[in-house]
Amino acid sequence: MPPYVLGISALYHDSAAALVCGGEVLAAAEEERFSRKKHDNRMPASAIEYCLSELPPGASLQAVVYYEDPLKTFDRVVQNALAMGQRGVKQWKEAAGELVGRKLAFAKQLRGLVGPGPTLLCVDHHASHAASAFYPSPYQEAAVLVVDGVGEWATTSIGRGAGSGLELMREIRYPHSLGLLYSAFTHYCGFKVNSGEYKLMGLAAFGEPVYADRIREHLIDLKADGSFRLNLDYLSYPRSEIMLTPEFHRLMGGEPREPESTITKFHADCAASVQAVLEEAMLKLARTAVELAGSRNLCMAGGVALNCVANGKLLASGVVDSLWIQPATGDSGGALGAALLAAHKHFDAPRTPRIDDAQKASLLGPAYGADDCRKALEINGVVYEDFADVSDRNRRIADDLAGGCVVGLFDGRMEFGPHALGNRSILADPRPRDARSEINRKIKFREGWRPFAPIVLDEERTRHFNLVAGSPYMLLTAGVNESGRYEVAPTDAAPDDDFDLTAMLSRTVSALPAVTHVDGSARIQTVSRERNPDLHGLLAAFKERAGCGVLVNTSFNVRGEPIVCTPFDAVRCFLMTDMDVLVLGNFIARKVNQPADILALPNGGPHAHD
Amino acid sequence: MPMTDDPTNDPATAFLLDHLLPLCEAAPARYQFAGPDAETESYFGDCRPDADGDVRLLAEDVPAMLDKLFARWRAGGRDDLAGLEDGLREMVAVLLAQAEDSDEPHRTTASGLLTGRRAPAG
Repeated sequence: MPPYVLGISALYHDSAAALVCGGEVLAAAEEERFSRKKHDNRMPASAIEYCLSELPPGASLQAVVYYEDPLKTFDRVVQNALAMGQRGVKQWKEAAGELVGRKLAFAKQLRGLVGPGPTLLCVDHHASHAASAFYPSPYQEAAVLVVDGVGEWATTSIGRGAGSGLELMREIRYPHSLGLLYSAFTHYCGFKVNSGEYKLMGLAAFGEPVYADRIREHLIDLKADGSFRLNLDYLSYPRSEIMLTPEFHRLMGGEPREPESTITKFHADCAASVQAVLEEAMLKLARTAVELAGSRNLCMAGGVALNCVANGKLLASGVVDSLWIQPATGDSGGALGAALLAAHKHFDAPRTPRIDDAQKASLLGPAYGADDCRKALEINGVVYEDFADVSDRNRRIADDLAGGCVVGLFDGRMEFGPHALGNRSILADPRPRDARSEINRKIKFREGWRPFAPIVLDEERTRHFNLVAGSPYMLLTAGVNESGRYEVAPTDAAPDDDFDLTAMLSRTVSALPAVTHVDGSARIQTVSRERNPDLHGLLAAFKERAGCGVLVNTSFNVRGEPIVCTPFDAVRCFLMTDMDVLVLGNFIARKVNQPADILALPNGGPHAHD
Repeated sequence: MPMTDDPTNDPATAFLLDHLLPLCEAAPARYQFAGPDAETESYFGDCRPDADGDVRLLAEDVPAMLDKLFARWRAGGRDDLAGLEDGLREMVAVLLAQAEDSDEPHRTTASGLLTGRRAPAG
């Protein structure tokens, strides 16, 4: 009987739990979806409870696996304090008091949640990332590359997977970290560290890498094999919660941007510069990983693997033949990797790669039945229609989308990972020029200079995008076809005092303006009939109705909140925003049909419970 | 600016002042300034012997965890850190007690959020 193993990531950021049976992934979810607190780093009590609810009747857990070694982390914190001395007082207090104190007590807390039965195990942080990348991948053999901020000591690791074996071979250790270098520029450009990195990546498209040589000359010594050292004269994170030294400000030529203040061409150029250096480093690391592992299949994980621009260029470079990236590539995915590593290495579970992959489209969270959906609608007085036939439902949704409606789609199991992949998504027609601003006005309220991402029928991928392989998890960026012409080049004439990002993006010429970035690229999710038949059916219905097999796909949430989890979360979002249509499974509610009194609910909005 | 807090009341700070700072002068700044391998021109290091995808028991007993930590330091030739032992044990004991007292109350059930029965997975 294959072992049931629960993996846990917690107490840094993005806590999560994952349940596997041997090599089969049964369930996985981030804690934030249940607690409604973004990037919740607390003990994932609700995610654990959900995963345990997916155990078959009578089954019991053999082991619970934590995604890092708290003792090694403590070792790093003490050694860092020794190295920094008086300068590191503040950093030491924060790490020792808040983080290490709780992490050392983790086993006791965990035992309180799972009871005395299961064995408690731990694996190294990068081993859990590497396992999350290799084991679910479709490869029998592959090189493995993990790049993130920091785990215990490792910040970059190269390994090799074969069958059920996994070996890490080379590493770069803290404080030298590509993830922390990118985070330093994230902070410098006025975005929040550990969550604003994707904004820096998006901003890079507006700039030119004019400071890349300065970064290479002063900040990072990048070798031909991708190994590197950072110059800590410019980076203060080992001794302070502040990431940068005054020398960094002088080097780049200005103080950090205040959050929410005006973005200038200088900031865009900084973003483009560090993005260029990161892409160069990732390409070199990938080449080394392929050489060391003796395989041209590459698996990646770690927070830096969320950089879909770098990923797309890596795939297009030809350095690898095939690339598979763990969809939950940040710390939450470590929970899944820890569980799989224990299943294969501790319990010797066999592994048979699957042709697509073993991630099950990353639809690994809770699903809710018709009774739950109906209850959430009726308790809030929402008027809805019931479509017994899914084809009829899809045709109605396609009609609404073609008519310019913004549609919230809640269907099936919740996604595991940061991206909504069609089961907790907001959809819209990508062709109207005002689609992006309409979605922002009605629901998302996010920065107007950020394009949305497209989903496309897999069979239409090359018609719309210059994408050399499928991208089922929205982790690759590629060019939008026939969109290479611009009325205004991104950096032409754009002095600092006239650098209007939203206006620049709006002038981008594309057949799909809502999903086309200023450089003509898009962050693509391809949808195949085999992997995601329900979403494929909806896209096909839209193509039949509108002649276009592409839709806007953005996460089903409002700014500042996690992606919705339950039908009640979805109804709340529908009623509190100007979303036009809500799809809950087979039920469709249209805003124009709702009684006025439920659209302006007092006392904090819709009912969440009985 | 006058100090409003006595830093020695904080166990982490007290430990730093009493045990870590006196060692800092002697401690080699090992990881910041190491050059690349002379032959390969590479900054890569081999993975630590216990980092090769190993799965280990998670120590539930904190004093036992600290024993492992000190053993690792000694095995790595860091005898100069032996003086930390008593202070570290004392600080960790205080921190753990504080964490237990001050930790946010965790939900014992998620039923308030996960309303209703779930549909079968798949």
